[in-house]
Amino acid sequence: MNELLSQDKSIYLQLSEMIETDILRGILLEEERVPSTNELAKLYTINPATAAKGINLLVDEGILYKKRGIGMFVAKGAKEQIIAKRKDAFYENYVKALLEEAKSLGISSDQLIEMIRTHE
Amino acid sequence: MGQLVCENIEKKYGKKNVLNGVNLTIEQGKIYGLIGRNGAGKTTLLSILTAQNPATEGSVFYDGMPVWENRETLDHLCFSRELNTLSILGPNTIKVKEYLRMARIYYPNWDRDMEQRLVAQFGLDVKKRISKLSKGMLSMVTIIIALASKADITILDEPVAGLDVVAREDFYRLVLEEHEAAGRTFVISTHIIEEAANVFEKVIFLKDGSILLEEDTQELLERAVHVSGLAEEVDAACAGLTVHHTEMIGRSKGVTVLLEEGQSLAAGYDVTIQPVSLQNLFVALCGREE
Amino acid sequence: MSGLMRSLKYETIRTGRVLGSALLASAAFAVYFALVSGERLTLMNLLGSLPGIMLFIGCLWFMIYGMVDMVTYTQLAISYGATRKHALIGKLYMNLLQTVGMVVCMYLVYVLTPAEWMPMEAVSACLLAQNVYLIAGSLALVSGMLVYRFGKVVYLVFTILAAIFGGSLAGFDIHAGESGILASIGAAIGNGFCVWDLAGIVLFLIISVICWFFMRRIEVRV
Repeated sequence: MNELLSQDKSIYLQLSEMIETDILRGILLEEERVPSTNELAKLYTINPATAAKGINLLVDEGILYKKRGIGMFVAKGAKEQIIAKRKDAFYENYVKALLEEAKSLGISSDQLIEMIRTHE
Repeated sequence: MGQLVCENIEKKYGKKNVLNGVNLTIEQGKIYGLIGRNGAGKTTLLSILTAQNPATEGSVFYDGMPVWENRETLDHLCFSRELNTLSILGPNTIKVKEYLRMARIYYPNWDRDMEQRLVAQFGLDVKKRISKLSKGMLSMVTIIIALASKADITILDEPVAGLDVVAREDFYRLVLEEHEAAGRTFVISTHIIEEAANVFEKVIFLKDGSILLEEDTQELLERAVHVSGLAEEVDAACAGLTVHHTEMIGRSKGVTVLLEEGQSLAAGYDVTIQPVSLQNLFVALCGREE
Repeated sequence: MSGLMRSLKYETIRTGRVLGSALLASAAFAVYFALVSGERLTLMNLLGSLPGIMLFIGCLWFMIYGMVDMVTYTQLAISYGATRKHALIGKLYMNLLQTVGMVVCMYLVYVLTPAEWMPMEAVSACLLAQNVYLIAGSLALVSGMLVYRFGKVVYLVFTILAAIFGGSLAGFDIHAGESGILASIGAAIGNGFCVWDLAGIVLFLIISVICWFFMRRIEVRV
């Protein structure tokens, strides 16, 4: 939370990712209450419908759950779920671009692995 | 609270067609952004929506009832725009105090507390005459009227034009607060697109007197992409798609594409694909014709 | 409160302001003319000159304010959600209310003063006044429409004309000597009711109808 919003991707996606990152960092703990749609809207000066979309995305994935009348809470096992999800997306989000850039620069796979080894 | 619907609105001044076949539904409880170039017809459309201007053809309805010359429906609406200080006459031009008092009497749901709170917050000198106000202060009067009117559907015409960035942020916050607290509907026309983009649930592009699009802001941005790279690669990736705002320098080319349902870029070409901001999308769609 | 009542409430407040300022100006002018005319500043001179002064001050005030209101305030009212019908009714109401208000005040002056001091008989003066006021008000409404149509130039022209007219009445009032303008007119037309006293109200009604045709589809430009 409190990261700046960028223009790189949809606001609601950024919002859900921010909440996920906070869960990973231990800023939001399991079974803890997550800020409401309106609180988020106020914090980022965005339309509450957009904030709701971000929250609902996480609810649909089971990372958050709703306690009727009280608010949204972090689900048990959310942290593991997020790690697994991000691992799956790791290739698409990070490696693919890395490989394309390496290719356009003429860096071979061996050289890449060497780079990783050296900086581990 | 109901919907504000306009059907087939046409507006002509002499031979000039300012608005053509405009159909629009403003749903309750949403914040709309109306974006268009100067002269596109924004103010005219907003005036017609609130019966401050008669349409040449077509009608406007609120909650199923006509808006024209109908006080019952007009009581649910508010159109706040900057006073044209040059056209105010008088042995003494109007003081802010008087302008606000008139609003207080005319609007049936006027919130006096909010009026006073905002006047204090903005540091507005109510004893000043309208003609002596700075651009910023004029904008603030517009905003105070809009917010304190507590109208179900509140329409603001370029409310942030004279405000500095901090005041603008305050404004967006105020609108969001009112929207949350009272479920009020807002329609805001603005030229300062980027910062307001996150506040608008729906956005309307008005081009040359017609509505180019009216859509959920986030959904619209999700289908807009900017494709750049070697010209041939870009063309191949965008084969069969409508491209806008082509920029070329040397062998490099950049285009903006608005993907329709089911469309996508052709894969496998060496191009940079980036999201498009609302402002850039507007310029791409409504900017100068190439 | 219903829409029409809200409009009328505002118009009442506005009329109060215009009347208040006209009465104040009349009192001030009465003192001023008494000093300027070189006569002694007696209560008789002051109060005696008052009706005449109220006549042309009221006329001037109603012409200027009437025109301004027709251009600016009707548009403001419509911009605040009033219907054009209500906006016009409001202005017509203001015209009538200010006329009645001013005439009542004039009558009060008569009631509070002995008849010998006064240049013209009370009822005749009041009939004359309502006539003049309604004519002035109607002209103001018309000129307001012209200003909207043709711009500020008309405003300038009309203000100058009003000033000339008002000024001439004032000048004539002083020139006419001790008894003032009312006495001169009184001598000319005699006391009591005459059919010309209806001219104002007739003109007012005709102008009202004309104004409606003009205002029916007016656009707000302020």
